[in-house]
Amino acid sequence: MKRFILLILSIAQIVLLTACWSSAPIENLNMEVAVALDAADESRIEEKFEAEGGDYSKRERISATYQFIVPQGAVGSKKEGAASRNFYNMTETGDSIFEAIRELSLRTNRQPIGHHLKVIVIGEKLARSTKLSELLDFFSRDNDIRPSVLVLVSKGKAKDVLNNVLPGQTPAFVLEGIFGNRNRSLRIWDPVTITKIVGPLHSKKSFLLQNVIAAENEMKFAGAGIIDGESGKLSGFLNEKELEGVVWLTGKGKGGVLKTHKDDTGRLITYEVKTMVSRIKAVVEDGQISFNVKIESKGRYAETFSTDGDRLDTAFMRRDAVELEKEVRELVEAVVAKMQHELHADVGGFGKSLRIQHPEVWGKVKDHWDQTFSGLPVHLEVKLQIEEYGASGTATD
Amino acid sequence: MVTKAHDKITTSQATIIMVNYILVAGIFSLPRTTVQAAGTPDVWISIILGALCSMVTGVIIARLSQRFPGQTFYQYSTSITGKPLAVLLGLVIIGYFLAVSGYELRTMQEVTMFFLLEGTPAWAVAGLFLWVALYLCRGGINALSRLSRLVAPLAGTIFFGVCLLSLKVFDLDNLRPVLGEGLSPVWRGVKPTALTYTAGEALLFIVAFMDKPKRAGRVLVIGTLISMIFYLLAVVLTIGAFSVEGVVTRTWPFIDLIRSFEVNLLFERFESLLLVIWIMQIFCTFCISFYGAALGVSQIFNLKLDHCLFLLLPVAYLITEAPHNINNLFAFGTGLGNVAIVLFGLIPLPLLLIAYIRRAGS
Repeated sequence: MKRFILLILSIAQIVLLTACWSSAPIENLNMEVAVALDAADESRIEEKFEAEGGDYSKRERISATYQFIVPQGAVGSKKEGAASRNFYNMTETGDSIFEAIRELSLRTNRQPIGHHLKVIVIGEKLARSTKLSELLDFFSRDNDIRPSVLVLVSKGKAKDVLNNVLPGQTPAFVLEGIFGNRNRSLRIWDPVTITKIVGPLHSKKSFLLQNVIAAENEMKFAGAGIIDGESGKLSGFLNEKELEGVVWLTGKGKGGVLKTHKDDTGRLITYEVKTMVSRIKAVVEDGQISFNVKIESKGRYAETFSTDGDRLDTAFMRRDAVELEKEVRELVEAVVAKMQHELHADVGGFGKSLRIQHPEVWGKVKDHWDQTFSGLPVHLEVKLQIEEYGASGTATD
Repeated sequence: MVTKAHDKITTSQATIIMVNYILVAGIFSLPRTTVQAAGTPDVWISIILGALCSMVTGVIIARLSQRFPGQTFYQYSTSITGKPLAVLLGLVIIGYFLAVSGYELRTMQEVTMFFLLEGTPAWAVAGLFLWVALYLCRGGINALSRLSRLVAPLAGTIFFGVCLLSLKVFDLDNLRPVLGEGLSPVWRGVKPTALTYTAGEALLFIVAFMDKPKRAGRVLVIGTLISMIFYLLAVVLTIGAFSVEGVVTRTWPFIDLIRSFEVNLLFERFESLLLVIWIMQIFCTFCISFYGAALGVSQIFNLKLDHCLFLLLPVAYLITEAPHNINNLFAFGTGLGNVAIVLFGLIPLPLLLIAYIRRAGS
């Protein structure tokens, strides 16, 4: 008898205590991979729903477009040719991002889950009018969504970025993947994740977010958007060239192209960047702050157009290096001028250098740093070194 | 008495028990609590100072316990302060141990229910935990030491592995400048470490089981140093990823650190792995303090240890569920830390002096 009771108890234990309490089969889930946030602009479907009485009380402020992956199992094994897309987008308009995604529960039986969210793209119109901290609050608070989510801005409609893609690819993964090309181009900014955003947003520091634009059925990384520390909103853009200037200034580039035309002959030189280092030194003399920036880079000739077929000797290489140094200097000076006089925002890490090198001075100026920074002198020193010329030892014949 | 002949542990066993007792749920929120108090990235110095402070107080407790070989605090305190005061002090310490176990379990519950098992009811998480703890504690100090030995290397390996991966999001600039605002913020950061470090109290009963009680001091120092490395890494890496301003916005900064990167290595995300081993780690802390409480009740009131364990189990559960929101829980933790400072920082020294004057113990 005792043994029997024990048996019943054990079985009860096994039934009651094992297995995952809140498991859900993957076919029943909608995996969010990207979110685009735009200023209110109802989609055609939503308008039709509303005409049929599908409306709820809200102030129309934000259009949130969610990109979902179509689970392989749900599609079945039949191949529908290359035209079939493995993602779909749904848009909801409202004032709460959280309510918007819950409103989607009225349109599909599959529960959206955010574990695999990769990117958030914010449209220019919305980013200029609403604080970034408000837009990202839900994403940095939710337990499903990881702080590793990338944040980008889009000059134009963010929604279009998620629509446009080559067949067989998913926009969310393309966006994430382009950051992997940082060893190829100097016009890609650091991937900024929520982890890296919470600090600057909380301390009212200005920072850059990669800008992405869409055309036809493609997308392109094009410069960067500036989030102004004081207002917490998007305050302007850097174009591709200006972004390249910031990359040189901060030494964050991992490789790419530097191109210049020689002053006297108009000859084109391209230089492939192998390494890049930048040091910003904050100098404080008699309470006057100034910055010395030292940029160093090593690389190789990628192209050395020339009609004479000269031997690439040391003197030749040095002359070209000087030309290239001038180009870098121009790039950096242009963007520093724009930061100081047009945007009034320090996104080049000058404040960081001052904070680290002169903490006591930083304590006095940090509250209105962006304004203070606008009037400070910046000295540049650029040193480029061409190390080799690839497999061809002469300039082009 | 309960201290049976075979229930002896070696020095290394005691050290591992100490490490497991010191490593607590506090690691999840430690970067935030210390930075909130200090406001500078220098809190890593606070972590080291905190360890030193805890060692000083711990060594006093070790000294005290060494005077009475084979006896726990509940038994020997009578000969220092007399029966009534000893019982009172014993009850306060029992209460503290119970509160610690409740706090640890609740923190574990909050974290797992938020990050790991959304939808699983609180009682199911706590219930399983409590019953297994009961089962383990009935096995006595040797069972505890075996579990600790099982968990510690696993926890260490996964912890250091995950920390290594988190270098992906690490930025040294967030930790600079060092001592930019001088030493005063560092001191402010020491106090919040109290709850995560307090270790000496476990010696109040562990020394009684040691086969070489003379080494109690060494056990404490090594145990604290090992734990310090864990805490130091967690704090440094979290601030490196989030910056000082970012850390204060995160409820559980250390878990958010582990959630901040994706690496394609067998797993893509590691927070569940870390949580799983850290739940085991918290389980050890829970069991050790729960055992300490039950042992106290059994020795003060001369009851069978088994009965005391059963008796205290519902009490531990009630304490666990007592804080009704997350702020209560954090306030509970801070309060516990304050109590610990008074109880184990200030009281043992007078006790040791009285014992010395009265020539009580060896």
